[in-house]
Amino acid sequence: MLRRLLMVILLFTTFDATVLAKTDTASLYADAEQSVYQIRVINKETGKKSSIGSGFIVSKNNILATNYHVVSQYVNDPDVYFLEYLSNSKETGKLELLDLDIVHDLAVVRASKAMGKPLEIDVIPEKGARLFSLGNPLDLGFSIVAGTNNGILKQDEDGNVLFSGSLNAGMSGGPTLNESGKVIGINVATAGNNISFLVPANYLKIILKRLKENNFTPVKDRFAHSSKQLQKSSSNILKKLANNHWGQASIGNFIVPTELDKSVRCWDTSRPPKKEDLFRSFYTRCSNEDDIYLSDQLSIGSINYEYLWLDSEKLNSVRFYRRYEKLNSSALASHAGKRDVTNFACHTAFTKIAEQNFKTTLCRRDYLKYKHLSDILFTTALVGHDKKGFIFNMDITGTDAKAAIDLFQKMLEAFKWHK
Amino acid sequence: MAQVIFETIVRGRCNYYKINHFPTTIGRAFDNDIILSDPSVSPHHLEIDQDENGYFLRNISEENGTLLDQQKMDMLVTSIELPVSLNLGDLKARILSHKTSVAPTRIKSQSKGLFRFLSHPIWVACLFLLTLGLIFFDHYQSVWIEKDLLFYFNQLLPRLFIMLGITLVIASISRLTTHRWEILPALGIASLFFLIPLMLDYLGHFLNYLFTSDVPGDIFRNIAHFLVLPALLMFYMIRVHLTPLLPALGAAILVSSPISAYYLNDQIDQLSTYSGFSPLPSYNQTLSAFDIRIAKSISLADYFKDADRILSKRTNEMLQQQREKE
Repeated sequence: MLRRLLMVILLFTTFDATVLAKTDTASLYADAEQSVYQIRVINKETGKKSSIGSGFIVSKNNILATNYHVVSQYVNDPDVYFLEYLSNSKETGKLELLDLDIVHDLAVVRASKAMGKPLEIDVIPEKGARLFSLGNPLDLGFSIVAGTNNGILKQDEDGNVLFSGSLNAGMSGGPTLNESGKVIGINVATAGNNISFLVPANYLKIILKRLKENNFTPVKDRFAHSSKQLQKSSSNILKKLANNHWGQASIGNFIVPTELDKSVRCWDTSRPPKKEDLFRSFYTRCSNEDDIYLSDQLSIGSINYEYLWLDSEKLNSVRFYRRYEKLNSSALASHAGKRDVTNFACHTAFTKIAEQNFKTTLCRRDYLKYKHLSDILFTTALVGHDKKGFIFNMDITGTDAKAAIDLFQKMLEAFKWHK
Repeated sequence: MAQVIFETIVRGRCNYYKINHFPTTIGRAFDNDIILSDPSVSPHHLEIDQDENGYFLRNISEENGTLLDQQKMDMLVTSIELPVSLNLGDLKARILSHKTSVAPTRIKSQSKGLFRFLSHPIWVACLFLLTLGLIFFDHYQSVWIEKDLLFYFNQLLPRLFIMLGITLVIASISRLTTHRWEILPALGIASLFFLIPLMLDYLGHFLNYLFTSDVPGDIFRNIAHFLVLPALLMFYMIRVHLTPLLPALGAAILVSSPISAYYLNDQIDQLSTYSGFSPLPSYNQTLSAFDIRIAKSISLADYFKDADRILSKRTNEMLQQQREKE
């Protein structure tokens, strides 16, 4: 969610031009200027731009790389929009989408004529190295921003680079160069205050290699192509989580897994107790704080889970269960609508977890365009104790159902009961 | 000598006059043989006579006149075959043979047994107190913070007033139609109107948990919304007003239709808002302190195996349906 917000900021906020005039920056600027373009999504009916970003020439003189989120409107509604480039000399022309990597937010497009000199790709330099981000924010023209490489984000599954420089609106999809003028990353997002993120250029390299092998033939079924990438990525992440050494925490009479990975953060979200309360409750919420952008309304890849413990000495058991039942409801924080997903199908049964009885439900809905991707929601509530309640909710969006179920099972098997 | 019965019908109630001698005069004036009080009847309105061939009528009203079997009568003597129906001005009447058979007696089986439960003061008091007790209990169960005792009564008062209001309305209607104040049965019906939905709710919840399914609760909720009110009204009309079954059913449906229409509208709204799509998962969320259930606990491995199979099948079916729509 956070990431998506940032991207929107990146696309639509006003550009605050910070052009650094250092000697090396000036020469880089001169060299790269002709290789960076503005990429625009244009509405066929009105002829007006709907979103803008940047792109750069790479591999061949008519091939441009950019972000998936820059061209996503076109990908989701190719009948409504088309893609266009705008050069520094205000020249425009149509672009054709060749390939995309939705997981790493990358897209490759082709122009109908030679556009300039392709930029070369290089490995990410050591931490602390100076980097230069280029882009075409709004109509303010070609800009260059200097900053520092702060290394690959460990808690981010994508392995994005933390760039301490000020990326601005419309620079999404532009290249970030090292001091020798080679591309090491693609501008993707900002959190403001000089905290920006880059996609490592080696992911672009993989797409370009695939395109070269196919003689630059455009991908036919974009959704099937993306589905495979998303499914594979999600399976890998969940398998990695399942095999990690997990953190543990005690909540009520249970010991449960907490941080499944460095990318997962857990917070205590318990309500502060009040004097007139007749029960006690404790919450722990964990989230991977990450998602993959599919469209303006839709993102996937979130992993959220929460533990809730409830007990009381003052309430009778009927009254306690009234309260407990009210808390036993789980929903998904997703904007997916009827154009995106099916309804949920759910299966409820009583299960044994850590020698205790639980009422357990698994719900699943599938994506309509992205085949074999599902949203999975799991919820289980302790039963059979007079004045003790425990609920575990977990949901994973845009995932492979089998991998999600395997993870749930492994987590539940790690639950322990202590008196 | 054959006897003839003159029947007048005022607001559904019948009055009978036996005619022993002929000619007999009918009208509003006190020198008539049969005196009628209806103001649309003329002082001297109608004459009934007989000879060896049968009976005759003569309309002598020049004001509102007489309809014989819906045909306007002139001032001439008209021969009739019994029975005939008449309209004297606005007054409905019939002339019948004394041999006409009467409708079978309606047996007051309710005077003992079930009906006592609605009319005997002890029954009604129990029902009334039980209803108040359950409303109080229900409110008490759903408060989880420490409150003064008075707080728990705050749900009780409005419902008590509504209950007494309903009692008054029902009893007043009874007073108008049967000329009796049926306060106790009316209070009994008003109590049941609150008690039955609440009990159905509890029963539905219990069965939902017992069967791990939302179906019983849904059925009971629909019963509470659509059937309880008409059934209670029908029961009351049959038992207290001695209305026959079909008219009672018709009147009950008519009276409760605004409330049924409200619930129906609500359901249609819910269906059309999402037009079949819901972003919320629907699953059985009931939890019960008593943990009485048919399903036994199974192992996690078995559960996930079942769930995976069932959910794959159902999502596939939904995807298939979606593809067929497109």
